[in-house]
Amino acid sequence: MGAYILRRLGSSVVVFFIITIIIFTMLRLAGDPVAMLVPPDQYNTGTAEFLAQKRHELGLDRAIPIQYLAWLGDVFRGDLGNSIKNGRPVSEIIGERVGPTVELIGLALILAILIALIFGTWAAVRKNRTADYVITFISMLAISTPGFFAGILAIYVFSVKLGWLPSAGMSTTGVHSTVDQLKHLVLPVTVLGLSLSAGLLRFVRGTMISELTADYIRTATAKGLSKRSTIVKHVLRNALVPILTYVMLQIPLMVAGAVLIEQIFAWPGMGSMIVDYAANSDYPVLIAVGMLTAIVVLAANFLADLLYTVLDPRVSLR
Amino acid sequence: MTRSTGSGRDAAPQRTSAPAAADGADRPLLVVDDLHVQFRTEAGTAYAVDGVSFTVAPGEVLGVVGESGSGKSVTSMSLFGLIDTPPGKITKGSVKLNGRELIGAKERVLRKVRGGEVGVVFQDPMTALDPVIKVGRQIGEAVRVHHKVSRAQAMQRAVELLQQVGVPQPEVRANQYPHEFSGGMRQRAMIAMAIANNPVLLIADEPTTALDVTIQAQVLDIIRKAQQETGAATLFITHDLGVIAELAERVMVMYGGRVMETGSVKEIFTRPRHPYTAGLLASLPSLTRDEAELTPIPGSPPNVLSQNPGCPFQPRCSVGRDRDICRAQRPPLAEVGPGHFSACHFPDETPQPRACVLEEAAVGAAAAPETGGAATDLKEHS
Amino acid sequence: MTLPVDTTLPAAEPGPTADGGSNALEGLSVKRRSPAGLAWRRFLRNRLAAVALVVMAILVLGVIFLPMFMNLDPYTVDPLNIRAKPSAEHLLGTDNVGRDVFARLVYGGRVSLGVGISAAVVTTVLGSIIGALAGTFGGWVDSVLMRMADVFMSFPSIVAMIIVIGIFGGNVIVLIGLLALFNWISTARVVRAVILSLREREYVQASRAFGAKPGWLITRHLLPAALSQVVVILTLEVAGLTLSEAALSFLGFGIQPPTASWGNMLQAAQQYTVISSMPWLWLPPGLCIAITVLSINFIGDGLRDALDPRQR
Repeated sequence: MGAYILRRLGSSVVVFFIITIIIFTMLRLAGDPVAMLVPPDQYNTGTAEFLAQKRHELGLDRAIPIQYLAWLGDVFRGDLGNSIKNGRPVSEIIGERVGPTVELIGLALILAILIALIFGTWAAVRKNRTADYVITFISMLAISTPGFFAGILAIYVFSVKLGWLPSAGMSTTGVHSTVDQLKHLVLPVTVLGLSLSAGLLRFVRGTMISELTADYIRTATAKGLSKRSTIVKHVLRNALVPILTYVMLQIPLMVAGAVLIEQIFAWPGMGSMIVDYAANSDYPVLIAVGMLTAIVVLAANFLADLLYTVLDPRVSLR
Repeated sequence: MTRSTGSGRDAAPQRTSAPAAADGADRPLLVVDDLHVQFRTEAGTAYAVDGVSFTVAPGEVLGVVGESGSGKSVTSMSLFGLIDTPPGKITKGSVKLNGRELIGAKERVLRKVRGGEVGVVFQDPMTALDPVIKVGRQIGEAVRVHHKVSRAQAMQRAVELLQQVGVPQPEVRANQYPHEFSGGMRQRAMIAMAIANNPVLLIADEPTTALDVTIQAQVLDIIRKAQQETGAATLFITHDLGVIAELAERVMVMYGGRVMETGSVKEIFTRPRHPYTAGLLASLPSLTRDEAELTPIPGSPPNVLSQNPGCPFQPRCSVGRDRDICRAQRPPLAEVGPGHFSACHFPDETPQPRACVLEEAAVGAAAAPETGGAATDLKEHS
Repeated sequence: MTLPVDTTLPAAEPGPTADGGSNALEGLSVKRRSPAGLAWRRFLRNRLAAVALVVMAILVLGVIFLPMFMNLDPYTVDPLNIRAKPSAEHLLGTDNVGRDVFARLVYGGRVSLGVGISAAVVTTVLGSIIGALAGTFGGWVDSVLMRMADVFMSFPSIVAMIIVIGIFGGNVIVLIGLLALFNWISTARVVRAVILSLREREYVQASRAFGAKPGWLITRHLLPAALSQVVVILTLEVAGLTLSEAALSFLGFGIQPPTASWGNMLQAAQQYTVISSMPWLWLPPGLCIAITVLSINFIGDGLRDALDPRQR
């Protein structure tokens, strides 16, 4: 088991370095950072020398592999460069945006898992009956509705027409109350959670259906267990491993959903930050985001494997 | 048997500890009357069980034999609501356990019966156990469903049960997962689970079919031992006549969802009164007989999708193939000898097996219930 | 004395137990579904797929042919008539700069559906090639490609595309290319799985034994077998990629104005006043996206059931 995890960890590290190479290449392809120091219309005779000197200072005249290593060193020290737009350190910009996104995704994920488990199980148990059809249809509707359109609709209904909930930001300016903050959470978390739950629900339903036909279900019935106990004690326990693995693998994709939801609800997280800085081609920030996303993806993949190893007794012996 | 958990059983007042249970003959433990089970399928309704009646006396071992699709498994599974509904449906009939009607009984009542009064051993131990729960806990669960005991007590009982079914190092084994068990060990665990609450009736649904030939004998031995120790009546379902000869006192031959013949093992093996039974016996391989002499039954198993007005075996039957009455009229299960019933219009025309088969089967049948020696026989022969 | 009856009887197992794997049903070659439930299911399924097909046909025909019958102008700016309510002149009103919303909806539909379909085709072709390579060659080619697939699979494609387009800029071709680059995985996996299972079949092994070349094997045996599943995936990819395009365009990284797409028409709705008082600006394109994606998903599901009833 230890060897397996170590091997997986090793392969994750290799993939990470491949990604850093891709990102570094993109960085160099993105343009000459020195040339941008001087707008083309202000070029004069001294400019070329000035630029050459700058290049030397920044180490840009060194061999490409050396430059890559130097850059990698900076990255590991947490120095991700400065934003072109406002000159602030990228790490600082990202640092203040991570919290709201984690909060949004975390809560939405919990909501999505609850919805998917409850209704997915329900649909599986009532397979091919009315409840199943209704749940499957609604989940298809949720899969097909773009999250941003759902967000707009939600704002139109709950903020504009009903006036129940705020439509933007994490809190009302000047107001410091928990209730106010919770109210701001409701719409973005619900919309994101619902859109995340649809795919998960279909997965839960499929997994549960195949588990429900397993022979051990009949054994449990023959022991005298009620259908409810059988589902809770056996079916869910068996379905848990694939479901949790699936959820882990979905987490990076949830970042994508968060981008749109944050944009709609003016949520000050990573998502709206990406859109903001991408619109300005602020590549140091974008590169950093790409790197961070890659790390999250690899970590999620690794954790999914780890989870599988820990939760499934059949795997853990390998 | 443990006193810690086994004392709370409410049912089965007339359970006997002795395996013979001669006194139970007049008061059967299980009475099945005119049971009909249908399955709705894409192709139409399958009449999987079509008017089956039988009784099991306390402590008695009844062998149920038939080909695949004969309805033998469906019969046993539908007795206590173990078939999936839908697509399955019990359309008619009565099942009485200790005089209590179970068809149409509340789910709550059935749950008490299942695992409590009735233990089931399934065919495939590889899939019948929950793969992600430790074996001891699964056995303990069977106890905990029916008795208010702590998890630790249930575990202790599980260890005792594993010991009882001959699992070495039961304390260690109880803490292992099913995939760490071999097929034979898993089936032992299944048996332990089935007898956890000292059932009055044990249903063994082809318990050895999925196992290696070498393991089969051991598992049969365990079942016999468990049956004798608990005194539970047993419904032993198999397609293997040899197993029946070893284990059962009475046998019921099924075909096309109906009972073809029933009687004592000795009677049926030596003097079958139904052409289908005779066919089964003739198709048995034998040590004393040349393989070339094996006589397969011509034709294929019946189509249970259509309800045949006559005898289901008629199209394949050497006696009734050309007779109008066999085609048109369903033969009733009629007594042809003491305790021997046959559903055939012409039981007397049943072709009789040759002597060598008779001897072997009779020896097996006679040896089976009393001595444990048959299992060793079996090992040698296989 | 082990005497297995079944093995000596000529007609033993008529077939595997369907679906449920219930031993109680052993020997009966039947599906575990009630005819009523089955019919109901098929009816509903087919009806949904059929309705979806009709809706899609109307949408596609509409965006193709409406401009021929109506005088639709999606580009002319009318500063005196911005954000006008729906009227006889402008069926769905006008947008921020006075362009006719209905005309933009129709022309936007051409772009959105066009990008969705062409991106799906490119995606499927790319995925089929990669899957066929992985499945046919196996070994390290397979491991490298599938490891790549793992990473691509869980990488949030929208984020990646925003980053790439944000840095390098984009156009329709880049957009389609990127969509394909980040979405080939499911096709590749299916094609690979089909090929792996087919490689073991007798007739393919027989062909190989007779010295058939790999190319011949792929075109004559493997791809035809994978075709039905690829068609299903292609359909579902159209839905997914239309959705991705809409999301990107909504965020401003997809189709750029003045060219209309359903996604970039929704950009207007990033303003609260537009959401609150000008629903004609965002409701029609939003509904169009949702209806399109929903319909294509239903068609895809229907196709899957029709082409491969064993699935699900």
